[in-house]
Amino acid sequence: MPSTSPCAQRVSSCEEKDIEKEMEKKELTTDILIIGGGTAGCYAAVTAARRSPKTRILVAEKANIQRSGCLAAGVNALNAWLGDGQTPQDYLSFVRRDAEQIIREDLVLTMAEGFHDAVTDLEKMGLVIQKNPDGSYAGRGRHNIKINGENIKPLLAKEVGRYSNITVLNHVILTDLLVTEAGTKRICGAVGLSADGSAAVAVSARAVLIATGGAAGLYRPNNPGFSRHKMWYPPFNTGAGYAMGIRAGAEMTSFEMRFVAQRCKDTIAPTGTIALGVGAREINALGEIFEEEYGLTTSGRAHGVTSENRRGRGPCFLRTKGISPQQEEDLLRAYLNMAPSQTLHWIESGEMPSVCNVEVEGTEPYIVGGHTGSGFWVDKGRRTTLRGLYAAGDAAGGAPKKFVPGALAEGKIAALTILDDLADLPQAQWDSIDGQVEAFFADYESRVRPGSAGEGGANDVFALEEAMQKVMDEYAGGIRTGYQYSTFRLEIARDRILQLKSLAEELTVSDAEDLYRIYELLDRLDVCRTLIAHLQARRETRWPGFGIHTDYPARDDQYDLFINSVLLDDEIRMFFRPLHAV
Amino acid sequence: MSVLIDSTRCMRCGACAEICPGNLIRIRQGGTAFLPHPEECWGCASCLKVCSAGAIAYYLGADIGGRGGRMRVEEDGRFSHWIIILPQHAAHQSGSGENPAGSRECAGAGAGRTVTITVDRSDANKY
Repeated sequence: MPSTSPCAQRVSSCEEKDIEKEMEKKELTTDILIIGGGTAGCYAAVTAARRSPKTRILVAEKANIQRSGCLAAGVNALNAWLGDGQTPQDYLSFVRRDAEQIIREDLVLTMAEGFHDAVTDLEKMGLVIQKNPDGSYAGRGRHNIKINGENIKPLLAKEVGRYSNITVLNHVILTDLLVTEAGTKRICGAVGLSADGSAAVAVSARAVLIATGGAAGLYRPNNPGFSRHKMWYPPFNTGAGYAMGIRAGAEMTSFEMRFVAQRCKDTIAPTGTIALGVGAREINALGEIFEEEYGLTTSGRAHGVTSENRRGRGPCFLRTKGISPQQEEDLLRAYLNMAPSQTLHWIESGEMPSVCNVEVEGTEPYIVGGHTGSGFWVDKGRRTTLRGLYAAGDAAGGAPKKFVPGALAEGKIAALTILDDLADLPQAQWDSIDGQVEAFFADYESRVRPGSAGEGGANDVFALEEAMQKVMDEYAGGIRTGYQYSTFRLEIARDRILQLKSLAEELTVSDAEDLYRIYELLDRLDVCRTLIAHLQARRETRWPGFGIHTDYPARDDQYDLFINSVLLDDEIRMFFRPLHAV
Repeated sequence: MSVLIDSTRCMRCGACAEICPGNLIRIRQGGTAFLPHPEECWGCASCLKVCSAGAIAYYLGADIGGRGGRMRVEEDGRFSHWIIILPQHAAHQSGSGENPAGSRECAGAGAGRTVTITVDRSDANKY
């Protein structure tokens, strides 16, 4: 593995120079900087490395690419696939219907066109995919195939390790983008710190790909106590990519299209495996099947469970009672390959799925471009609105239902676009960006104050995170209100998030190992602020399972458009873009 | 939910701290691993899988129905043996040898009974 700590080892494809100061400081130079070594980021790196062996590629990963991101525990199906003669157009129709029209056709089509090559490539890397007798992939529903994906991330990481022009910086958390100061505004690198707070890192890059994933932890979670991180999406995906883009002035789209997942109660484990795998129907406490009443879209299913609960007919379950011993055994194993907590729950409680129906609940809302449409506004090549900056996977907006194959396909598209663009993207000279780098580094250093714990009253990073989640829960449509919000509530949410942001700006930590937490909180607050502005701008209810605007509780065709935003002079400017004239 | 790291069994290799997707596991002065904020664990089990000493056990917090059971995993080539140590007051688990579809092995009696489920990585999931 090309696993290097920024401070421990000299890296082969980067030039590096030391600057002597308190925090160790590193300046690295590369052609392509990929922020985030998850599904999209790893595959973008592999694509660029294969196509252009002389191009230097640097992957900056906050943890270790072996097990980082959404696929850490594994995944047991690929949920974006064109089986049984399905075409990219068919997938487009499916996504358009599911997202109630708010999608970018060009993005969904180019993504779907890439499913086949991405998945067959994964199989070549060693992924086990279940086959039919004729050699075709075995389906689980129309767009799903069955795999053993427990080791999908180690397989991707191993492939990354095969290319000598890829350098992986594990345990590096990039916080902000660098912008050229002369001439046309262009993104030319990024700055950040090592996870242990011992080093500050600046990277000069000709192109930067945001592949950080989406944002969890904005809202008070299902399990707010000890198991607060037992959530659907990685709690370590803090919306860093969105936030650094927002601060640099990139255009964002559809943040108001939040995602609420239907999950097994408490363990927040996937339900699709039960619903599609053993054909379990969703029932309310009276044993009634209710899905037809609410529609079969992702939002409709979420709305169904919330509504049945509100109407006094909850809790809701997946009807597994009576499944065969073999089906039960297969479920136990399937969950070990992606959500082991569910298997442990069944075994230790004795509430086996053949005997007890599985209770389901909706999660707190997330911002995640791989499932709904939130993220960077990108062109077909996955260029953002800022020159030199690209986005793929959960970070990129406009193309819901990416799942693993779509994240891979987008990583590939972005990598190929970057290689095409690279000739016009010269390396920024260090002396032209040193001023920005020094300002960021000074900010990092100023926030570590040994012995400062307790200074500044009761506010520490944990308290402010909890306060943020409470505000979002109560005033911006969290679980507390059944995902409902109003003009009045959103104004309160906006003001309180701004107050919390001003408190967070003053935060310090006594232990350098906690330094990154301040920046994660600041990132989440920036994402919350943009999210609230988007919720305010869409004066209708389009996806009732993901959120209900109580002042405008019906769908309004006037809002057959994209709601986009740009942060300019610390003010969020909202504007509309038509659905089709892209 | 979270993990317990048994410092008496820890081999001080640091593999768990390296792999944790949340950078949550830290190393003490003496080299043993510990989890300063157990409530921040996502439950992905990556640390269990890389711990060759079997020093890390996975458990569910009481807030999500945990009853004191523990789970470990032993990697054995393409096989993963998931070993669940049942809590003392485990409900109606089937007794030793009773496993309807033949892939679950139950052993022992009373507190400390174990259930082992083996997963073959070369087999795709049925679901």
